[in-house]
Formats: sequence, C-alpha cells, structure tokens
Amino acid sequence: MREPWAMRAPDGLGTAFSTPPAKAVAAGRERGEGNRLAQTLLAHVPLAVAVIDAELRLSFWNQQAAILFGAVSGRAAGLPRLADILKGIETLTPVQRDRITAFAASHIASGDRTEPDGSLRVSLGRDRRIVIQIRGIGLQRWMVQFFDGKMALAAGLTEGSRDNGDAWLDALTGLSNRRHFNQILHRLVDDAAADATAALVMIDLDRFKRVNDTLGHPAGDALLCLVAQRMRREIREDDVLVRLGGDEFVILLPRGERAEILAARLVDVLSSPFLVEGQVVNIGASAGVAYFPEHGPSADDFVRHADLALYDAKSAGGGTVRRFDPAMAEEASARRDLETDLRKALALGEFSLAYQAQLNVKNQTLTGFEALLRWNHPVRGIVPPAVFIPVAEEIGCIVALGEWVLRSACHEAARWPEPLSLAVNVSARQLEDSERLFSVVQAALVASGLPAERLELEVTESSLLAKDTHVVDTLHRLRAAGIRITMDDFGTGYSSLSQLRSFPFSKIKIDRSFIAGLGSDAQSTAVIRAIAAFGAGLGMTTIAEGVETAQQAALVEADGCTDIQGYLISRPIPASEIDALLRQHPAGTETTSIAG
Amino acid sequence: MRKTHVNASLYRLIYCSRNVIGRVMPGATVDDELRTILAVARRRNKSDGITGALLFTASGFAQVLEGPRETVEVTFERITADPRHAGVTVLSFTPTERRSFPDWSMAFTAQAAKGKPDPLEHLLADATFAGPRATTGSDVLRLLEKVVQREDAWIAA
Ligand SMILES: Cc1cc2nc3c(=O)[nH]c(=O)nc-3n(C[C@H](O)[C@H](O)[C@H](O)COP(=O)(O)O)c2cc1C
Repeated sequence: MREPWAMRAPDGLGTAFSTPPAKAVAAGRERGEGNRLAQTLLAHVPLAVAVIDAELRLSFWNQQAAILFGAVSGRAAGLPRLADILKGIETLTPVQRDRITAFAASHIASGDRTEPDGSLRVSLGRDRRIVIQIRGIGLQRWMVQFFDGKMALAAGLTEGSRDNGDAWLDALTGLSNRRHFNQILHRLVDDAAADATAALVMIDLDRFKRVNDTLGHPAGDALLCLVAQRMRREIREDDVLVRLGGDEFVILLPRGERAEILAARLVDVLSSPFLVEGQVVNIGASAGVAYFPEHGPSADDFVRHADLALYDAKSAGGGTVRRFDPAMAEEASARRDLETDLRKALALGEFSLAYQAQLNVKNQTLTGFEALLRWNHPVRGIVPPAVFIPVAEEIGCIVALGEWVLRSACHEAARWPEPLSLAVNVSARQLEDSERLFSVVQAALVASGLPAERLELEVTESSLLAKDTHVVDTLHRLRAAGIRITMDDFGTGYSSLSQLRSFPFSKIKIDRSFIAGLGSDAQSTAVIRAIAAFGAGLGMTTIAEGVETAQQAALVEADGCTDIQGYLISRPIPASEIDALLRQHPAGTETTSIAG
Repeated sequence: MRKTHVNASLYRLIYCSRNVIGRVMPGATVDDELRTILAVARRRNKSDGITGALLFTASGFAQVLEGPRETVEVTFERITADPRHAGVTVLSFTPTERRSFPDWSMAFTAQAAKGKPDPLEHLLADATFAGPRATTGSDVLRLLEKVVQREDAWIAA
C-alpha cells in the first residue's frame, strides 16, 4: 500500500477539511472544523486531492486540485459533482471523463474492495499523464488522488520525477521519502498553530546490518518492507511515516501527545521475530522522540533533537525509547569538541607513547614492553585512552593513529636489547583493511630494522567477532610473516575458550578485571585457572595484566599464568626510562628454562 | 530404492507467546476471544492451504503452522501483530516433507485445567529469559501431536 501522505477522516457528515483562512478562497471550500494540520499538509503535497461522497460530489479539495481542475464551478448549486469538475481539465475527452467517474463509482460500489494499487491511468496528450487512485476514508467519504506529472515538475521535482509522484515515495517500501519529509516538516513548522504540539519519532533498527551481511541484500530489502508494514499498522491516519534511507525511519505526528506511546509500541512490534525468505530474523529498534515547538524552534533543531534522542537510545544498547533532553545536546557538543581536538591531535604532535614492561614469572626476566598511547592536550591535559580511543574508533582516525603507533614503537623497540619484544594494539578498524595493515606493518619493520619475530600485535576478541573470515585471513598472513598475535582483554567480551582455537595465538592476555577480583571472588580464580590450563595445552603464553601486588603475582603464578604485567613490575614509562628499568630487571628469553 | 519427493516449499513454524487478552481487552472473556481466534484461523487457513494446531494454557499459546513457505510467512506476520498475545518467540521454522496435522485447518486444545501442571510454563519462561532452545520446538510439536491424537480418538469414539 502506498501512503505518500496521511490524512484524517472527516469528523462527520457535511464536515470536511478547512483550509487555513488566508488560503481558503483559492484552495477550496471551508466547511466546519477539520484537522488543521492534516489540512496544511494536504495543501502542500504535490498532488491533487479531493474528497467525494457516495454520490460522487466533492466536499473537499486542495489547492493542487483547484489548479488541476481550473476554476471550480458549481458553488451555487451545493457541492460540485465529480463529473462537472472533470470538465475543467481541458485536455480530458468525454470518454475519459466517463471512465474516471465510472472507476470511482465502481470502487465505491465494491465496498472498497479494489486494491489500493488498482489505479486508473489517463493520458492527457502526448507526454502528460495523470494517475488516479481512490480509497475509502470512512464515514461514507472517499479520497481521490490525482498524480500529475506536470505538477510534480512545478514543485521542483526534476531529477528522478515520474508521472505518478514516485519522486516523493521510497521505491522499496512505498513510504514517503526524505524529500517529502523535508517538505512536510518545513510547512508544518512554518504554519503550526501556537497551541499545537507536533512530534517526531526517529526509528533505527538494531542489528539490521548483520541481516544484510549474513542473509544478503534481497533478504534485507524484504525485511525492510515487513518493517514498514508493521509500522504502518501502528500509526494513525494523520501521522506521516517516512523512510529516510537505509534502516532509518521517522514518523511525523501533527498531534504529538501519543508520540512516546507510539514509539514504545513500535520498538515492541519490531522486536517480535520476522520470517524472511524461510529464515527467522530477530532484530529490534531504538527510538528517539522530540516535540515541537518545545524542542524546536526551527525544523532543523526539531530533527536534530529527535536524532540526538535516538543516538542516546542506541548508545544505551538499543531496544529502547528516549525523549530528547537538553543534556543530550550538551553531551553531543562536548563530544563534537572532543572529535575536533582528536582529529588535530596527531598533526599537532599531542600523542606520545608509554611502555609497560612484561615479566616472565618463572625466570623473573623481562620479555618485552607493551606500547600504550597517551594523549596530552594543551587545555584538557591528559585524556584517558578509555575516553578517546572509542571516539577515535568511531570517527575512523584510529587507523592513522594506529599506524603512527606502529611506526614510532618499532623505531623505539629496534634499539632494545635482544630478545625484548614489542606489543602493539591493533584496532578492529585496522583489521578490516587487510592490505593496508599488512603493508603498514611491513613498512614499519623495514624502516626500523626490528625483526618481525620481536613484534606482537594485540587484537581484542570483539574484533574477531565480525563474521567474515578475512580478519582471520589477515592474522594468518601476519603470522606467516613471523609476527606473533596476542588475544587481548580475554574474558571480557563474548569469547569462549573455543574461539581461541580459531587462530594460532601465541599469547592470551587475561583481562585485568579477573586479576582485580583475585582473593575476593572465587570465580576469578576459576576463570584464570581455566584460561591458563587451556593456554598451556595449546602452547600459548598466558599473561595476567593489571598485577599490582606481590600477592596477586603469587596467585596468578599458582593459577598457571606464565607472564605478568602491571604496576608491581613497572608503571607505563616513557622510552627514556627504559634503560634504567632494564638495569634493575635483566632481559631474558622466554624459551630459556632454568634447570632445576 | 524409492525416491522420496521433497516438497521444497512446505514449511513448518512453531512459536509460543504469552496470552494478554485479559490485560489488553478488560471487557472480553478469554473464552469468547479464543472462539473468535479459532473461527477466524480455521476459515482463513482453510482457504490459504495452512494446517496446524493451537495449544492454549493458562500462561499462553503454542502454535504449529504448516504450509507453503510464503503463506506461512504472511500468516505469521498477521498473527504476530495480534494484540491478544505478546512476547512471540519462534521456536523453529524449517522445511518439512509432510504435514503433522494434515486434517486440521487449526486443531485446538486447551490445557487450562486447575491443579494440572501447565505444559507451557517452563517453555515461556525459557523463551523469555534464555532464548529459544533447539529442543523446545520439537517438544511443542510432540506435545501437540499427542493431545490432538487423544482428542481425535475421543471424537471418533
Ligand atoms: C494465538 C493466535 C493464533 C492465531 N492463529 C491464526 C491462524 O492460524 N490463522 C489466521 O489466519 N489467524 C490466526 N490468528 C488471528 C490473526 O491474528 C488475525 O486476527 C486474523 O488472521 C485476522 O487478520 P486480519 O484482521 O488482519 O484480516 C491467531 C491469533 C492468535 C492470537
């Protein structure tokens, strides 16, 4: 079903829509109290709309209809008849007029059985055509729509416009598209009455990308159509449902009181499973709600605020509704500032590296250092990695940043005594571009002279979760070049021990949260033991990070960990202090075993 | 060897859901609503080529729908939108060689007797908290087959 706009049924017999007073004369009749907003919307859609009764008499028509019909006559004799009105379209032949009235009469007689798509096409001369659709709107009233190619052109729809008004519709779902939304929104904001409360409900599907990735685009498209269908069922007639693109939707409610209830209902119905091409698909949705004029006053602010509310709902993990709150705007602008600073930081040389030592517990010798990124902003001071790394991931500058770390750290490590190794973190974003990562690593090794065997790349479990196998392929390629790969932060994500078998890791780093839990909860001990045993079985080194006390060191050693890292050995230090540290702790090889 | 003909498009869907008739329709009696659901289901399923069984207990519904894939998908889309139930969880949706309820446009069985254990209770709890388990779909199917056979025999007697 196509719904290029929505309107409300007249309240009773003899009642139709009224136009805003200023436009009343030109646009049509004013009869009783109608819905002013729905009316306003109708006045601005680029198609002619008329409402007829069972006797084929017009009780309402919008401005575009008035233009199409020419001068609407019949005012003196009560309601004008459709047959008379059509005479106003000069190029229409009497036969065509009869066809149109017969089409309307038979639709009404059929009790609205004609499918909404059962439309009538009438050509007006060589390259002009109108498409007529009729639909019952209750209370013995029917809405007749005239899609007119010329009118669409007049509304400025040149590119992509077609005779039937498709330029305003989303081709996949038949919902209104972004262009239509912008137009309606601006009119609504311009013409809104002082007492009106409108609302926007922004909807974004959760986990939609995964459907597209795993089941393919045709299934994704089929799913979007089902999503549109479910949403359509929940909205009222004067709500406008729009697909903005991708899996983004918005509903414009001229009367917004119900907005949050509707949003919650939509999140609910979209979390119910879908059956798509023989598959069960579970997605979900997040929604952001903003009100007008409270969250306006401009159309842009209105949309932006609804977007921020949606962003908030998504960051809360999805499946939820958020109403706009001014704090969200403050947060967003703080974040924008952080992004701006972050983008410049590399060029301004605000990053530096600190190195944290790793120790083999059995030999009590240093095995190497992990390079850790530090950001010292002239005004913000030291910004914790937990704050800026996720932002850098999101805006993409993590890739350039990661490359800088690789080059600088390899350069530094090349002057360390053999066989000290260097561990560098690699982000999920870097792993996505296999070619680039591989060549950057090679270049860093060549430029610094650091042997590949002394470089370890640390990857997090979540970056391995991506379904596609090419991340694993990338790792294999690096491994084949002699570079060792460490599983970082193990135990925090969705990992299972079996995931460790998917790739020959040389080291597992047990997340610091388990070390912090040692001595107080039994579970941490159990997890550490299990991982250490598993690592030993597969010939992997297990390193505990965040070791701060001698007691913790003793416990992790007893639990089977081979290596430790943490304040007990050393805090992360600048490169200049490494020599001093090496004088305290000798460097040794992991493979040397002390004969006992 | 006999060649088995696999009807590629015949699918079986098994789902369960919570009954919310009492909450969303305070005026309605559950019995009346069930009668309406069943009457509509039987009429539409018959003309759509769908067969299956519906189990109703104090805690909710479990339903088996079988038929051509697309018809099952469209029917499910309609059912899932029904406000009379919530928390719809698909337990299985798979191709099948033959129908389990070939003679029923919608067999019905109510297991709401007082004092008896509710066969859906653990299922709905699992579905809500732990996600569908592989075994639960066939559990429901077996349960429905058993009850329907019993009632079949009772009707024939
Ligand atoms: C638990 C339950 C099971 C249902 N089973 C069916 C069914 O098998 N077939 C069917 O057509 N409708 C079934 N319905 C009814 C549909 O939800 C819906 O009301 C009906 O198909 C009419 O849809 P319509 O009003 O959109 O035409 C069921 C409803 C519920 C709550």
